[in-house]
Amino acid sequence: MQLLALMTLTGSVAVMGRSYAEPNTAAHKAASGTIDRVGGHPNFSGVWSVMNSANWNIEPHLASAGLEMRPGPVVPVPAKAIVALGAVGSVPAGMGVVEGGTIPYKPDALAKRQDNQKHYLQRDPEIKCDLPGVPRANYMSLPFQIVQSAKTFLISYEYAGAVRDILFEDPGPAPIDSWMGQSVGKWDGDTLVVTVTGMTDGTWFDRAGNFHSGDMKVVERWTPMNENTIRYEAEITDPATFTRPWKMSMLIYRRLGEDARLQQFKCVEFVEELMYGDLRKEPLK
Amino acid sequence: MNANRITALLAGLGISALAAAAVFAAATVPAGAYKAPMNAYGQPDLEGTWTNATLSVLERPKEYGTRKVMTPEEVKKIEGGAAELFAADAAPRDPKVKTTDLPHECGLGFSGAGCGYNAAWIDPGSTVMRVNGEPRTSFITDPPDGRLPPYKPGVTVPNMFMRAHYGENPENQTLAERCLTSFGYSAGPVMLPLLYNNNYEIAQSKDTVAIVVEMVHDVRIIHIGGKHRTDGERPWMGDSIGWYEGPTLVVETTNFPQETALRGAWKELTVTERFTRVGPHRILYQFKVQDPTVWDIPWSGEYEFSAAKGRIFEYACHEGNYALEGILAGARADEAAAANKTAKAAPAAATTVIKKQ
Repeated sequence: MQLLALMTLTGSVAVMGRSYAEPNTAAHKAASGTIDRVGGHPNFSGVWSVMNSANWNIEPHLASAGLEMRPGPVVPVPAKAIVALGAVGSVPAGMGVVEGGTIPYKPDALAKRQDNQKHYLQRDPEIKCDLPGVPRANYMSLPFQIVQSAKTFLISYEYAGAVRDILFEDPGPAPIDSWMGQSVGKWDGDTLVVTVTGMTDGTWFDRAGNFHSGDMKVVERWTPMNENTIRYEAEITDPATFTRPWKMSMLIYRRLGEDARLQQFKCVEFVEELMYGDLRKEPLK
Repeated sequence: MNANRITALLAGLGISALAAAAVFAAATVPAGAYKAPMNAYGQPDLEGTWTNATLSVLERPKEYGTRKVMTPEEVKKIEGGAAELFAADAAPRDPKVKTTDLPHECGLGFSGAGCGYNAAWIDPGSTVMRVNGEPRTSFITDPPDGRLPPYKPGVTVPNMFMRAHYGENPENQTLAERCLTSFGYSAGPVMLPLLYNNNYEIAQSKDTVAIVVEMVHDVRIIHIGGKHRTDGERPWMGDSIGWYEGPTLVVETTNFPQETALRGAWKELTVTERFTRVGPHRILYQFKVQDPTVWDIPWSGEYEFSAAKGRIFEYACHEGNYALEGILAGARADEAAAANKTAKAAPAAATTVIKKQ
């Protein structure tokens, strides 16, 4: 009881034997006066990236030998296809970014998540270089660049050349589903609130099989903590998959100096052997 | 109108079904009364969604000679003819027509089912390009004949559709078939319109201009006040830096990769572009191209972007690229069919040999 009381006081909860840091609401207030502005709003222009392992698994997790495992004589071992990668193919630990630590899946959806993990190599859309969708695009290891003016907010992602244009006039429901969805933004004080709809069910949240349906709605909140740090939150609503709406929260950091230059990661050509190798005139042995 | 009529029309206008055209000119901006708006950064405001769709072409058809501007009659003939043909193609057609009824050859390398690009699928524009109100005969304005200067001896320009070992491996296919870049030179530089999806969005921050290209959702990042990279690396679309000169954004691009050579030029290629707002809904786009290893002289041209209605939708090429798999699988099926045909003939020959023994 004393431990629980202490956790409450410190804003932390125990998850899988480790502590998960709940975002401090008070800390979400932007440090007004210290941040650049354009059009009266915080200016997010620049190159940004996370420093977490959420793309590996948005839930809290210890390091493990691989994303897809198979039974071994003593303990599970990496799937045959990733054995050659050795430590490079292993999964780094992470505190998780899901508020409360656990995604509230419906029972059948949870079973599908587990099945996704068993067949990770065949199912993760990132493996085929598919567009990542939202929110995943924001916490991949590769950076993204925001180009913002008084009337425009464009996000250009290094991964696969994905791009989002935040609309500040709501055009109504997206006329057609897309991989990156339709983003409609509005300002709530210094926080940019973006509602993302119209996404396909082809994207995942991470490399751990966490998924959603095509009816998912994501409400993002981008709040400047200081000149070089953004508190990013995303509320996920998807009644077909989850028992209730849930949130993820993390920090995004500005890349500075020589690191502040977006590169290109056109991974399409990198997956051609995987996707089309068997159709070569002379398939490689 | 059937597909070969469409392609014939486009060929007649000088529009390549593969690449098509763009602009130029080192000429100065006309001294008009329009004052370009400035953005919150104090820069000329170029933001918005723009299109360069047009019936005009990069190189001037030879019959115009050195004449840069079309007559009203010439404009009427081209624009009227295009409207007529596109309207005809939009008319209902016989539902009994099958793909096998399509023309065997429809030009520009297309045949059979490949002729399927009828008017419903293309959007090359409906008007001749106007620059400062003048209907132009080509984008290129220098050399004066509106055509590319002669290539230096020994320079070869590969035909993007006549690639060696076509169908053998994914890497043998065109960049567009692989969803790596668009057909032609949509992203540029030089930014050239295509048969469809000629839409761009420009966004500006203090130190960056981003040009979103609808085709293959490419984004060209221009570093304002930046320096060219010197590490020898050649990113897709080259390495673009820029600066503002009064009302004009100037962009200089070098370090092009060979894969995206511009009319055969890449290694020493420098493209200089100038973007100037010349009206509420127009951007004058001027370009200069030089590569002394390919041409003895630079060439340059111009056209105008017009404001596009609506917004750009996602062109998720790779995610739906069943065609590449189909091309490769089709080639393997052809090979298997040929092998079966040979195999059927082979036993008879083998039997003959055995009998002789």
